[in-house]
Amino acid sequence: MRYFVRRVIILLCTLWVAITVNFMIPRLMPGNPVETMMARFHERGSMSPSAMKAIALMLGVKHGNVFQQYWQYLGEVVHFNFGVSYTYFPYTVTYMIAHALPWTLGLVGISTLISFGLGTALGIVAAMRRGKSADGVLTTISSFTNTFPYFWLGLAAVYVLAFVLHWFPLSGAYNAAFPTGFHWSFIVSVVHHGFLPAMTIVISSIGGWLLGMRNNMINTLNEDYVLLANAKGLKSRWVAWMYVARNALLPNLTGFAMALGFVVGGSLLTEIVFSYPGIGFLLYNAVINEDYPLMQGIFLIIVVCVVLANFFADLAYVLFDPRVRRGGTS
Amino acid sequence: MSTLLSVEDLSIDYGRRNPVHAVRNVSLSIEEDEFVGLVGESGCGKSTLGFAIARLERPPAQIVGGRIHIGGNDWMSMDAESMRKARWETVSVVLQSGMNALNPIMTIGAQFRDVMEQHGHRGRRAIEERAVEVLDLVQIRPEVLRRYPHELSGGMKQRIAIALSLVLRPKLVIMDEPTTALDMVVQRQILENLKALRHQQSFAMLFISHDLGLVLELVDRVVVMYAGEIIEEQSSRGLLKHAWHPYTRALMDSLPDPENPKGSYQGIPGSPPDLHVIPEACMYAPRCPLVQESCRTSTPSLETFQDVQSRCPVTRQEVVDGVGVRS
Ligand SMILES: Nc1ncnc2c1ncn2[C@@H]1O[C@H](COP(=O)(O)OP(=O)(O)OP(=O)(O)O)[C@@H](O)[C@H]1O
Ligand SMILES: [Mg+2]
Repeated sequence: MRYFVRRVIILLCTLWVAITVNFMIPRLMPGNPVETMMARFHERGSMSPSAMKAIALMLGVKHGNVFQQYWQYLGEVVHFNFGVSYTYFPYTVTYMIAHALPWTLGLVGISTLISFGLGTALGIVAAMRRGKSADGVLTTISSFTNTFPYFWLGLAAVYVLAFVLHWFPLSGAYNAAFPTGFHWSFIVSVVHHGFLPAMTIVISSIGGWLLGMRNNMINTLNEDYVLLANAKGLKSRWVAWMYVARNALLPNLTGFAMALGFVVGGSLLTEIVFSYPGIGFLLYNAVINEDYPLMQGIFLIIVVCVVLANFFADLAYVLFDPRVRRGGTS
Repeated sequence: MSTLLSVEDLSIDYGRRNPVHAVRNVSLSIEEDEFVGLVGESGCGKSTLGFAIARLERPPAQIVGGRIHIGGNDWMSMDAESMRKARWETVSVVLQSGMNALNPIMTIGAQFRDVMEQHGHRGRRAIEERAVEVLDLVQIRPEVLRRYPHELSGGMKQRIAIALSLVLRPKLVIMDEPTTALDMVVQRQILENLKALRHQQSFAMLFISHDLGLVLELVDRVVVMYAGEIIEEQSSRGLLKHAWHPYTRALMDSLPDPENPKGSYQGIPGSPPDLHVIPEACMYAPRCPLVQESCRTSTPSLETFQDVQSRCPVTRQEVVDGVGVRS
């Protein structure tokens, strides 16, 4: 319980620091984003000064000194109010993020889960058959896919499988011809659109999980308690799972939680290559259009995800490692 | 009494290319219910031999020759499943680092339960009762069954490891330096435990240690190894009266003197030989105070004389001539 309270305090502190940094960064940047925005409106056509003033108000031009602004900002963050997007005006930042986030969580989240689960399972197999042909094949393929640059892999997949062969769509997350909702044709179209980006994510990351797990397994196999487990005449599957794999998995748990934390932030490349309407793609558009409120909102979401993932990783440790459960440090 | 373990001509190498000949042509037998000690300096091959007897040798170690029979079973040519079933019921082990011999993520109770269940014991109650019974033999309270290894002290873990080794009533328990990692007081307590154990449950023991003093207190018979070979073997009582081999004598001399416990500790000068190339000579010759010319040119064999096996022809001749017998 003490452990839990300590973790929650650390979590809150980290969140506060992240939010504050997020407040400061745009204020430290040169130029005034609202002015840029207004200039752009100006270029599109002549606008009366009163219209300009109305827009400036809607965009939430800040008033008062820094501390008042900071206080106001904190209040808005608590209410998930990040202002209006310059690019997608008049939609709010919150609206844009809420519509992009599920796609990213679905695509990258599921891909990360598959990659971790499959990679870990194959790592266990490779380690238990180390030196045999199955191990050789798995290790060689993993080392190979591990070195693919992701961008290259994604572009090659799009070019060959979507552009040349037309097996998969070039962009998007679903077929707009079907109405959104929980019915067969829509789900099929979502899976069809998501398959290629998901596959590239899995291919590029699975090797790391496999090799990492294999390595941990081989280290754990040298432990005395594994020697003793064999001396006890336990069934080899039981030894492989309860004595070796479960202990070997512990160091990987942190890595997995970190990977989950980076799901939102790490989707940038995938979503650009596949024009997938998630957070990464949204961030890309925000950057191109100098849409500061949107960028700020997305950065905050990314940071919060990483911090939360860390928090849950710590809690997961408590579940899986009895040493942390009672009176463990850190 | 009948023979429980018989090892004949066992040789073990580490590695294939340029191997270390860690154990060479060792023959050893243990009677039922007999306690045998295996002593020698660090690196002489005690653990290698002990693990091979339990068939727990791990690469790069490999048995390159010899036979092992336990309770009439050929321990070298069993199929995997019969081997698995015979483990722990026939031979169990206690490792030096009891601290690391228990799985950190399982409770002590679970580590008793899995071995019993997978050897055909049924019923949670019966299993727990048996676990409590063996824990009682080493004076550990039943509450530890719900604990995790990291919550226990080193001495407790080592005693639990000893209890665990007895849970299936094995015929032979191999203990590899079970007390070395512990402080003197705990070491003492465990030794007393072990002495008392043989009155409570019948089993034979191969007790591996570099501490001859400790071994002499516990076992019936002592086997002394040097550089991968047995160089002397005799009863503890006999050894206390007279050590034959100069190396055994050096070991005896390095024991703390009970009348003068603070007296200077005498190590054995020199260091053990390299085991890559085995010379045609007595392995101990370079360090031996009694060395003669013949010791450097021919390999002495282990010979039995007056119920004592020794590899030293020089000291054997002394006995024949009736000189040098210590009282
Ligand atoms: N993994 C290994 N690879 C190569 N040589 C090894 C390996 N393990 C042990 N040896 C060698 O085998 C010999 C015997 O080692 P062993 O561990 O059996 O000695 P020991 O008598 O148990 O020593 P200690 O008292 O230190 O436990 C040593 O000379 C050592 O150098
Ligand atoms: Mg050893």
